Amino acid sequence: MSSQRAHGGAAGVLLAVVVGVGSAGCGKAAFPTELFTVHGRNADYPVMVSETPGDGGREISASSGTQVSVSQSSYTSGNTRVTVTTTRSARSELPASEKLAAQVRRSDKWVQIQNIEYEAVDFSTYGSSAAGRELRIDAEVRK
Amino acid sequence: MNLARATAARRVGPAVLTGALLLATTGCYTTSNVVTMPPLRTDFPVSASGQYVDGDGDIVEEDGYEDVSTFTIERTYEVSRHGEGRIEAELEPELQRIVEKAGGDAITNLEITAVEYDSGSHNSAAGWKIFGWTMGLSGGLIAGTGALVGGDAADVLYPVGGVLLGVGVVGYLLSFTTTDPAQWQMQVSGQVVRRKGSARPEPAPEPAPQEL
Repeated sequence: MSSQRAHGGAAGVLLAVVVGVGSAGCGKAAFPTELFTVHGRNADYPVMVSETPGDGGREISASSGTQVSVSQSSYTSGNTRVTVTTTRSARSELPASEKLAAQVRRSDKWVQIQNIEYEAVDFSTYGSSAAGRELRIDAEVRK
Repeated sequence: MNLARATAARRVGPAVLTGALLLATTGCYTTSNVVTMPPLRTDFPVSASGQYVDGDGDIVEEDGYEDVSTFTIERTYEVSRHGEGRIEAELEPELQRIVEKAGGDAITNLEITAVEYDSGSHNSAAGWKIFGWTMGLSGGLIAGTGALVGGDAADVLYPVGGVLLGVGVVGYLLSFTTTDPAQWQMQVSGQVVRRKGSARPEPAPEPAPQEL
C-alpha cells in the first residue's frame, strides 16, 4: 500500500515537472523594438555616435526596457493539489532615445554619445524565472 | 519501538537537511548577453541625427551636405546558453567600407535597433537541469533514507530512489542536447552623405578577381 503511494507520488512529481519544462517555451511575446532603438530623428542638433573632439560637458543618460518574472508554488488541499503561477511584467513607457532627447536644453550645441549598452539577462531556478532586457545610453552634452 | 523511531529520525534528519542544502545551492542558471558600443573610432563623422560635427568642430546642417546613399547592415551578437558575455559591437570596419565604397565623407541619421532577442536554449536547458537535480537529489535522499532505516522500508525505498536517481541523471544529460546560444539581433541603418562643395572622392574600386 505504502509502496503504491510512493510510486504514485513520484509519478505526480514527474508529470508536474515535465509539464512545467514543456510549457516553458510557449507563448512568445512580441519584442518592442521601439524601446531598443538608438536614434536622433527629431533632434535639431548633432547627436554624434563617432568620437568627436570637444570640451567635456554635462553628462546625461537614459534607459528603457522590459522585465518579466514568473514564479510557481504548489500546495495540497484535501485531495486536490493546487499550483499557483504568478507572472509579473513591466516595460518602459518611453524609449531611451526620447528620454535622452528630453534632457537636452536649447542652449546645448550638440550631444556626444559616450556608451550604448544592450543588456539581456535570463535567470532560472526552482519554481521561478526572470528575464530582463535593457537599453542604456550614456551621453555628454557639449556647449 | 519509540526509541527505534527516534533513532531512525535522528539518522534521517541530517540526510534531509543535506539534500535541502544541495537543492538550495544548485539549480540556479543565468545567461547574460551584453553588447556595448563606445564612441565609434572612424575617420569620418557619424551622427544619429540629420546634423553632424565635422573635423574642425563646425556643425554641418541638412542643407550643407548631399545624400549619397543609404545602407542597412545586420549583426548578431551571441553568448552560449548559461554563459555570460560582454561583447563590443565593432561597427567601424563595416561603416568604413560602406562610406569608402559610396564615396561619402560622413554618415547621418544612424539608427541602431535591436530587432529581436532570442534567449536560445536558456529556458529548456535550465528546465532539464533543474529537473535532473530535483529528481536526482530526491532519488538519492530516498535511497539514502532506505539505507539508514533498513528493514522492510528499504525494500521499497531503494527501487523508488534508484528510479528517481536514474530519471534525474537522464534529465540532466538531456540539457546537453539543447545548446542554442542567446543572441541579440541588431540592425544598423543610416545615410552616407557628402559635404557640398567638397571634392568628390573616388569611390573605392571593386577588388580585382584573383588569378589562379
